[in-house]
Amino acid sequence: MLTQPTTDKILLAIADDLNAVVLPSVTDEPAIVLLGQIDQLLRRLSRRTAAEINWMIEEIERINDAIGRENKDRRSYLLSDIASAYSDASGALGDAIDQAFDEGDFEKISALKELLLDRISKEQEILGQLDLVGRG
Amino acid sequence: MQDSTSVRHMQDPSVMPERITALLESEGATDINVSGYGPMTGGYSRLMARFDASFTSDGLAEQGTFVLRGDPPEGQAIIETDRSQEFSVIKSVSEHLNTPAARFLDASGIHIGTPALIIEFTEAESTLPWIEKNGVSDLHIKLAELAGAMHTIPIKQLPDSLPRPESGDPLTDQIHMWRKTGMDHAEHLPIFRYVAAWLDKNRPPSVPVSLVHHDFSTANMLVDEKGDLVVIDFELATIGDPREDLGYFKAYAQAAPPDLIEEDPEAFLSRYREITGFSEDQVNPLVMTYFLVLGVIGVVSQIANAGSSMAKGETASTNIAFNLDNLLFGQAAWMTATNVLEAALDGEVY
Repeated sequence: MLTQPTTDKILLAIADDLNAVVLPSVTDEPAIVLLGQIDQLLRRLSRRTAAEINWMIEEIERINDAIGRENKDRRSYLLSDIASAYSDASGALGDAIDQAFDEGDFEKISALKELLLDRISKEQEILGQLDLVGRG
Repeated sequence: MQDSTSVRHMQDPSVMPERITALLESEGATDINVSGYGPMTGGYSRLMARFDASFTSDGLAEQGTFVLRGDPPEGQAIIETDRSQEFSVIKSVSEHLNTPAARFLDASGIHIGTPALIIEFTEAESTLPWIEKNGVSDLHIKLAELAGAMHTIPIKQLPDSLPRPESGDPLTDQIHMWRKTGMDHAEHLPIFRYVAAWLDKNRPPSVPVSLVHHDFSTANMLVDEKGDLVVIDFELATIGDPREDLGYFKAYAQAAPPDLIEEDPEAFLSRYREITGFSEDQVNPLVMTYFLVLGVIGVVSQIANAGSSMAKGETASTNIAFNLDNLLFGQAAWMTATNVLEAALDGEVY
C-alpha cells in the first residue's frame, strides 16, 4: 500500500481545496454552511487521525495504572479494537469516579480528575478553534 | 413519515405555496394567496422557510410574512422534538413573552410533507450582529426581564403535555441524565460521570419549578425595532428548574460571546431576583456557574444520542458529526466550571 502522503496530509489538502476552489463558486446558503462544517471536520480529523491510536493506548495504560486494572497484551491495533478497549477503560474509570465520590475519597477524586484533564488537553488539540457554523 | 423528499419540497418554491394553501384551507382560511417562498438559514435543528401570505380567517382579512418550521428527514435531525408540542407551548407563552405568534399546525405532515408549524415573521435582527453594530447597551437588563417573565408564567397556563421532572425534583432528573448519557453513549464518557457525581455532591438550594426553555441563548433571540429581545424556538421546553436557562445561556456564551450576563452580573441578578422573587441564596454567581454545567445536559444528551446512532450505522450526516465535536468544547468548559466552583466554595456546599 502507499502510505505517503499520510492520511492527515491528504485530509488537509481536501479541506484546503474545498475552501479555496469549491466554496467561492457556491451561492446556496445551506450548502455554504455545510461546507463550513465539512472544512472544520476535515481539519480536526486530520489532527486526530495522525495520532489517535497512540493517544488511546497511552491513556488506557494511564487509566489502568491509576485504578489498579491489569494492562493486557494487545493482539490487534485495528482502530475499532483499540477504540473498544479505550471505551472499556473509560467505563472502568467512570466506575472508579463514582466509587471515590461515594466514599468521599478526595485524594482519589483528585488523582482521577487529573486523568480527565489530560484527556481534555488532547481533545482541545484535536478541536482547534471552535466556530459554531450554522447558528445565528 | 417524513423522508428526504420533504427536504426537497421545503426547498422548492414551485411546490410549497400550494401545500401551504392546503394547510391554511384545512384550518378554515379562505381567499388564500401565498407568494415569495424561500428557504431560510439559521434553523439549527429544523427546516425553515419564509413566505408572504394573504388570507381570510374567522372573517378577518390578514396579510403578512410568515415562517414555516418543519422536521428534517427521519434520522437526519440532531435533536428529535415534537411540532405539536412546540405549537402548543408558543400558543400558551405568547401572551407573556415577546415571541412570534404560532398560527397554523400540520401535526402529521399531511399537507406540508413533514410535521410543520407556521409562525408569524418578526422584523428583527439576530442578536450577535445587532450587538456588533450597536454594542451591548442595556440588553443584560432586558435579558433578565425576559428570563424573569418566562420563569414566572403560571404553570397551570402551560400545556399539560410539557414534560415534568419524573423524580419530582428537577436536579435529580438532570443529574441522572448526566450519568445515563455518560453510560449509554456509543462509548463510555467518564467526564460525564465525573460531572454527574460532582453536581450531586454540590446541590444548591431549590426553587419552585417553572417553564424552562432549554436552548436559551443568543442563537434563539432576536432584537426588534424597539431594541427589545424576542425569544424564539421552544422545541426543547419542559417544566424544570428555571436556573437551568441562566446556566445554559452562560455556557452558550462561552462558545459564542459576548456573555450578556457578564456585562454586569449584579445588575442582571438583581433584576432577575426582583421579578422572580428568588433569594440571593437561590440565585447568585456561584449558583449560575453550577447551572452552567447542569443546564446543558438536555441538548448535550440529544447530541450524544444522535452521535451514538451514527456510530451504530443507523444514520449519518455531517451535521451530527460536527455537533458531536462541540461536546469536546463542552467537556473543557464543564471541568473548568467545577474547578472554579471548588475554589470558590473551598469544599463547602452553598
